[in-house]
Amino acid sequence: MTHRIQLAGHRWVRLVTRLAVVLLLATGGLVTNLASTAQPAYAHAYLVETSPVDGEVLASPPPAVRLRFNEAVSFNERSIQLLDTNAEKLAIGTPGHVDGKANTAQVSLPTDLTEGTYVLAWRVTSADSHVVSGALTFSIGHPSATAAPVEQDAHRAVVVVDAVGRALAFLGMALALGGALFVAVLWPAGRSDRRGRRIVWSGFVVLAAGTVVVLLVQGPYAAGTSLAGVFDPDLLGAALSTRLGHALLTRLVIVLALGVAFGLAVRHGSPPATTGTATTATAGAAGAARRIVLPAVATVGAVALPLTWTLTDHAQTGVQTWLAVPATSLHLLAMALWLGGLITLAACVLVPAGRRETSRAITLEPALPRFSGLAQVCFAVIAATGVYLSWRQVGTWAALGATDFGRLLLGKLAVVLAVVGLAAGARRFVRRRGREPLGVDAAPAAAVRRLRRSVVGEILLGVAVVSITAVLVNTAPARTSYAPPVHTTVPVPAAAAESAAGLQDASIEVNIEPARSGSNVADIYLTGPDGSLVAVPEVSGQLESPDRDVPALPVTVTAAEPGHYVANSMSIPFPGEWVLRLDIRVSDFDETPVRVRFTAR
Amino acid sequence: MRGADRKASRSRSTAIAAGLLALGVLVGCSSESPAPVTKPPYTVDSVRSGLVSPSDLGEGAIEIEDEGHSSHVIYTPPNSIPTCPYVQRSEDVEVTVEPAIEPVGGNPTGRTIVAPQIVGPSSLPVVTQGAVVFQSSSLVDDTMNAVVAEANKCPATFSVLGGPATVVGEYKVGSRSIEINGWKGFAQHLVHTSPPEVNPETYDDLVTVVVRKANAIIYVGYTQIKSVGKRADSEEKVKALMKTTLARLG
Repeated sequence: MTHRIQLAGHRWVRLVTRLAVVLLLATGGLVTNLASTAQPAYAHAYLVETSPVDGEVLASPPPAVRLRFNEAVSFNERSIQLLDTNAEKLAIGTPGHVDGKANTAQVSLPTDLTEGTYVLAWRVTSADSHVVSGALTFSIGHPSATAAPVEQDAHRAVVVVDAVGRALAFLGMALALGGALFVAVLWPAGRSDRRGRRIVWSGFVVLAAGTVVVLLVQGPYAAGTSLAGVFDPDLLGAALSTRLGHALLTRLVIVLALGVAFGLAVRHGSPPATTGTATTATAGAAGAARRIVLPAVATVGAVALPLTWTLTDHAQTGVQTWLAVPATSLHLLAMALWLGGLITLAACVLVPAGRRETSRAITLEPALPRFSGLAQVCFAVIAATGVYLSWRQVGTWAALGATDFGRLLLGKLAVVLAVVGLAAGARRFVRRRGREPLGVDAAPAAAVRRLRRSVVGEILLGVAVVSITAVLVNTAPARTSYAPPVHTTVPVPAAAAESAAGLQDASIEVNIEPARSGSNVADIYLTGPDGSLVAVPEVSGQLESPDRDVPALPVTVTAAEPGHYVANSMSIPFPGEWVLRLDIRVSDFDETPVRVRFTAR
Repeated sequence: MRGADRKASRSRSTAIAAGLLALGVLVGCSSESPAPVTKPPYTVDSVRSGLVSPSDLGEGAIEIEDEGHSSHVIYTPPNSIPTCPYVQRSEDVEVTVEPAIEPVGGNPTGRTIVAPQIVGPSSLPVVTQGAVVFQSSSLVDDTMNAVVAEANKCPATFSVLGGPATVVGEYKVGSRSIEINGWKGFAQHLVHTSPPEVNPETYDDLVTVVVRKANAIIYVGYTQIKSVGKRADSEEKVKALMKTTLARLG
């Protein structure tokens, strides 16, 4: 009998150890895979080069269209579409990479394209899991009018469901991690408390459900289709093959591992009383497993779980990714431990304690002081990493108010400040009552009820922060989306001023909006010393890239009112330093170049 | 007790300060806009509230129904949506461009003109406007696509050699996409300069905005006479004007 119990104990230890090793290898391997394939990127992917180039007029149909991006992109069969002049979709080949290069895409075209203008619309997923799209036109024979509408925005319902899924996943992680820490570590009576366990289990379920929702929606989101696309096996397969798909699968595995660890931890929360040497040995082995293996699994899982977000989101792109990934992970982990712990504290300790006159006795000691200390550490981590991440994603003060990302961040900051105000009051309660001989349990019921109301307020605001964050992570960072227009003035060269009357001491004002990759408008004003506009016979332009091996791009400049010249469709292929070269013809024989350097984002 | 009171007071002060700070940040994020008087789907009557009224334009402006006056000058039917004004008078345009599109299946408001009694370089601008509402989204889509496609064909430059003295001269055309209060479309800028021997002092600065939202398309032509040497500013002015008028439509 004793031998059997010993064997059972060893078997249990071996089982737990093997399970832990397998899960560690599985999750570690997947996470490592995500990390190892991480390529430094700048933001959402952008198009660097196309063949044929946008607007090109060809004598005959090209065999294929090739796109080259600045970073690796993923796509599926529906990512590239060819539209004719009547906006009809034409049959084309299956998109693929050029020579296996991950930053390229190509698709073969039919050989029987008739004369006219065609629109090639593309929609690919960049390294930070965000979808980018665009279109280029080319003509065969001669250009023709085209009314092809290029659908570039994702369906509203898809975006909303995606945001809801992300919010559920955030909330679930908070309940699972923060709740589990509170129940299993901070609150001695937690392991045997059914309500606390239910909260943690619901966290695991919500986290898994949110993850599955994001996974299912990713297909329609990437393809630009409606919500009905979640049932399309091809889209799901395409989503699973992407970097985000791998991360979401990894997250589900980690959730499973953490769930098993939590189940084992709370199942043995109250070890049975045993006697005898053999039983003691078994209990000792089991206890060792609980003391070493379960905490190890829980710690690794808790550290790995945020990485399934940060290795596929904004942290993975932009500047200082080496610091941004751990900083974002810490930010996320601290938020989860605080919010999840707070919800569990309120539901399991504060609410019953507030009703302690009429229900069973619940003590605030030691759970409340312990959690208060943890919350202080979490707030410090959230504040430090939050400030750094805000700077990293926004960059400039002006971008705060001028971009959706900046405005969302300000809203989040406002809510966080309100949370800090409430949390400071709760912290003061704990410190003041903690100094009294009977501790926080000596606090009057009215004071506990006030504390409870304050904590409930914190929870509501915390959920609001999570909701805002769910939208924020799906919004282009302000650092990349903010493109202040270019306003610059250069003097008219002396040679030109001498050749034409009215140009003495004149200047050239150049305004470029929005000064970012894609289509831009450049306004060029020739202004005399008295501020009046001075007309010249002609202004022509070219776009030059000083630091890249790109041939000069033609810029069509047309006249507006006298002295004002406009480039209405100046296409900037990619962000960086550019030079707008203006050739100003001041007379029938004299022309002078003027170069205006600017930065496109 | 005093210490406890001070602590409680400090706690309240901190909470109030944090609340005010949070409120301040939120207020800083919000923007003020006038309350709309109607909302989509629009009708012929309700969409009129988004058109420019004499009070929007300024003191001295009057409103008249276009019963041939404007259509006589720009030669387009009163119920049409402009796509390339004056191009039909040009002799040097190589491609066929319609100056306006007559919508199919829509209910037009007709064309109204809001203008000063006497037009000149220092007077109020002239606004020529109208709207069309549709019963189905496919009809409004088709019409807007046709308008955009035709406007895109409008040549960057053309000239009118004959006809009334007011239309003779060089025309420069440019177009930019525009979005105002959720209304999306384009702003077509047209500059008309007369031959130097006819009028070397002024030029016509015309911006035609065509925007669509829900089941309605609205167009507003905004014309000023500017002195040569002065910058054209009709686009900025019409944007500011339409930001106010379109806000009424919700």
